[in-house]
Amino acid sequence: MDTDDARAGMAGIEAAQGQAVREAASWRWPRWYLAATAALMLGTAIAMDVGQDPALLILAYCCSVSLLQIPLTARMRVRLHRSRVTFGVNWPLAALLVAVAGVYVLARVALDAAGAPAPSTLAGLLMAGAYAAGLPLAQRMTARRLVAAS
Amino acid sequence: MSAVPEFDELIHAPTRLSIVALLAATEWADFTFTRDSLGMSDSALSKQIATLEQAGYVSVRKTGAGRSRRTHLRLSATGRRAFRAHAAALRQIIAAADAADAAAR
Repeated sequence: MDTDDARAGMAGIEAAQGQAVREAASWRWPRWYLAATAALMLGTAIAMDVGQDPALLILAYCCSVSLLQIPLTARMRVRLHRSRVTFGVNWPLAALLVAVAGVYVLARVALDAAGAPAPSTLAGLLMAGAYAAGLPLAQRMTARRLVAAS
Repeated sequence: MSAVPEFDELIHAPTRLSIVALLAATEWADFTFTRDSLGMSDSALSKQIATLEQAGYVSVRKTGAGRSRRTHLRLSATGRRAFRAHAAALRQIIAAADAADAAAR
């Protein structure tokens, strides 16, 4: 094999892998997924005000979010190898989840202290709103980092 | 971890190299995405996938039924190792040629 053949081979590899990365970077969570997740957050928060067992609600929330992954994965055309989906690429999404949880906790503490009616519901509204507002931004940041890292 | 360079004739054919390279970047890829990305026909891709499957480099999984039927392509552990070794062999050839060029100047 000659050098030109090897260079052409490497160029082919980079081009093909670039296609996979671009496809993954262009992936956006569908609106139904965003709406369903926000609704689950709000529903769980409302149920806490109604007096349901918080541990049971958290379990139900986690199971429901996991179930949502099934139709979500069915819509995807490619899933990148784990070596490319590192924390360095994905941290905006992780930061969003931490921030959203922080919004709920802080709002709940403040509303409880103020003696507001249905504090969990109001905090849940803020949490779901923060999630819906932050997800597109987190996705864009993740996509940029994914393309830059490839 | 760097792979031990080993040229693989089966992978090196341009079409198969593109398929394996694309799959190496993924956990799995949809058949139609692979076909469209590489500008191939269904039959041409199927033929190459069958060859790679026979060699144990690629596994094929079909899900759903009717219009929602999907075919997922996945590089096996053997295929991933062979690809890494092949890519390392290509890099080695290029590096050797570059070193020879630099020495000649």
